Amino acid sequence: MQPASEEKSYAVGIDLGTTYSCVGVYKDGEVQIIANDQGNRTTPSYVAWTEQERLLGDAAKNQVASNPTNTVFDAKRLIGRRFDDPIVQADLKLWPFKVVSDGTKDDKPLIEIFYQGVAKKFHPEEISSMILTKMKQTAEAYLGHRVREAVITVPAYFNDAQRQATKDAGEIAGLRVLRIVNEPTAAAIAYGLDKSTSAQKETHILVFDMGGGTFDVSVLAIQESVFEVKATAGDPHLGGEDFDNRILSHCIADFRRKYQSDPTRNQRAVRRLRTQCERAKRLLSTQTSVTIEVDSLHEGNDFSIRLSRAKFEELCLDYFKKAMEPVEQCLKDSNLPQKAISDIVMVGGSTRIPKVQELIKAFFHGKELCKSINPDEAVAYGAAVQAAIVSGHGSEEVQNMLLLDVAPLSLGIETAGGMMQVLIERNSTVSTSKSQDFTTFEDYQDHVDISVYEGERAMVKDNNFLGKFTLKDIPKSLRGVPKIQVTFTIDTNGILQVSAEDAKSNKKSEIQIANEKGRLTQNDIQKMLQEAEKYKGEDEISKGDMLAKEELKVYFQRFDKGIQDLDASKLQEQDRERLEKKLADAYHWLEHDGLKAGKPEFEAKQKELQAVMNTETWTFAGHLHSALYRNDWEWRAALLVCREF
Amino acid sequence: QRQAAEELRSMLPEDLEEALKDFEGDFCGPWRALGLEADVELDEEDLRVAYRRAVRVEHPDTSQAPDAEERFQRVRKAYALLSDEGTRELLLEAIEQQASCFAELSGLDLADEEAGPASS
Repeated sequence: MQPASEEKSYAVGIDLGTTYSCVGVYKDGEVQIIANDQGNRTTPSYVAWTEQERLLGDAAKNQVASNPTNTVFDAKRLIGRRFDDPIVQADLKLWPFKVVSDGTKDDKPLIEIFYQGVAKKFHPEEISSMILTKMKQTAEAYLGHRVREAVITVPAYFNDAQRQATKDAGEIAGLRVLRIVNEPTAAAIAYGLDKSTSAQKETHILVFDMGGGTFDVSVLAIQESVFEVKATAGDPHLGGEDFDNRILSHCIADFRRKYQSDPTRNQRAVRRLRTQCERAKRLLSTQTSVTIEVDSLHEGNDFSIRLSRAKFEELCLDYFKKAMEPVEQCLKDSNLPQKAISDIVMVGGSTRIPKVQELIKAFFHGKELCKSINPDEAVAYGAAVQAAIVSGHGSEEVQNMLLLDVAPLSLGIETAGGMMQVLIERNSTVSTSKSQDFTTFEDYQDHVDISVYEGERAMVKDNNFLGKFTLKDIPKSLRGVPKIQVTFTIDTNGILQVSAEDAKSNKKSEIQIANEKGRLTQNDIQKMLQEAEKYKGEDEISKGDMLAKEELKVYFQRFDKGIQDLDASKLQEQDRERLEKKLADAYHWLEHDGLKAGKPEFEAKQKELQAVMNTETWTFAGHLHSALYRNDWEWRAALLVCREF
Repeated sequence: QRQAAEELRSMLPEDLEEALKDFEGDFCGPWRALGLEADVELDEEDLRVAYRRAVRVEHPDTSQAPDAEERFQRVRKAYALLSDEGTRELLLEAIEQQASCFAELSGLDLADEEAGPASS
């Protein structure tokens, strides 16, 4: 037997992209980006099945026009999502390959291909694992050694399910996944190695990462080689492919006009045309006009069209402008003015587009962009560095670097009235933990339900449910008395743990929210963020209404208790009846009219009851007052209660 | 002296008193967690530099300590407390009062010993 240390093994960094992937390794004190067997430093994220064999990378992409239904790409757009996800439903209309549901309650998408006469179904994780295998083999061929460990990158706003699915893909490819790193963060490391980042003065950079399918923006603070992500934002579905599609539609419309025939149902024609559109888009980054030509495209008709850069920009301008929103969001979230950003790092192939550069430059008042790092390789470069750091193979310079990443969404629990009480705010540095005290809502309540949600809206019904657990056997006492401490913890791997403890009995209950089924899709996150902005005003109103209503309810209960506590000597029977009648009326109002009432109505009702109280004798008023306000903090705490009976 | 510290603590806002529990109730604890001495002269930049240095030492990625996670959290909490100017001032005030209390008490002790009979 050979000791394990005899065999040399490397940890690599892999940028698993929507359209292209890239692999790098930290070796002999520097990062090497590894070229594949075709001599290319990036490899198309394509897998294809022909009559005889399975093809990966360039070989798969090169034969796509002749074999469209058995050539799979864009697996990253499916990974960790449900089949009924609107994004998946929209995308699969554009794909020549077939996607079906797995038919279980998880509704996972499966990619169906025909190989040697038999239909085969694959999970997106499996397709991704095939691409990862190709990247692993590329690295092994170059290094002459086995590769067993890898750091794999994902878009910053990828959720738990998507991260876990990506990790699974790595394991399927026979790789131990050391860490899942956010793409813009990895790019920042590449930038960091290029510039000197060991300075004692804090600097801020913005990473603008626009690739083939996804778009990320992150703001980082760098100080003495510590990279701290301050904020992150993005668009789950914005990238080069969307621009290709716009050019494609433009060409198809032109073809229809010229020949009165529609090539859209001719998969092969569309595929051939799309390849030329992608080529044209690339050329337009350096030329001001190109000709798109496809011989015998459809029904024997040749196709040719002249496309200027100006026309291309016009076709995609709404996309380009949309890309500025996350930039703005990120600066807002990190509390920084434009001028505080010392460098704007451009990453991803789509940042070569002159119009994109022009817009972001204009946003930063003409500031020069940092283009010193290779936009196609920076993410893999950073991943390779992180692989060296985590596996302890880096040089001193590299070993000195440290990454602090953030949680992309707020996390919290449901409180009285269906409100979201946030414990961990969006963009909090991980790992992190936060505790908050809650209490009971009802007298003698002996257990509480704790429902955990993620999202930015004020009401839990608008956010994404993650899980639920119950804290039992709380010693029975009056409402507002028990002290229940709820603690949220996210570790460095992004796994959330929630616990609740009753201070008096020391009873504890907890739940781990990891890879829960049906967690948010990227699209949901983005949609929720956008909606949150849109609905911010609306939330403020409904939050105010809800609080006023809950306050009124608590007031009723106190009022009622105040009356019951007073004996006959202090309260005459007729007064008691009058008060009880008043209270019953008010309850009735709350049950009926209260359903559509707003904050002013609830407050008015509370004033009305107060007025009733004030007309009573001083003794009674005093008694009732002390009953009502006996413990003001307790009264307020009761508003933040998990309602459960 | 312990009693004096307790009294001072109870005069602080409830959440700050709670937060100090992570530092054994020591007013200087947050500074110590960042490798600093409690000092009025420290500005935002000094704190930030100290925080990032402490993070590098205590982060689970670099630290071999079995309780690295907790230690890292302590550093983060300390920085969160101290980067709030109001909290920082409250803590500095408490430290000053504690010091003057201590000076008074030790002054009394000395006086007692001198006046009283020489018991062990």
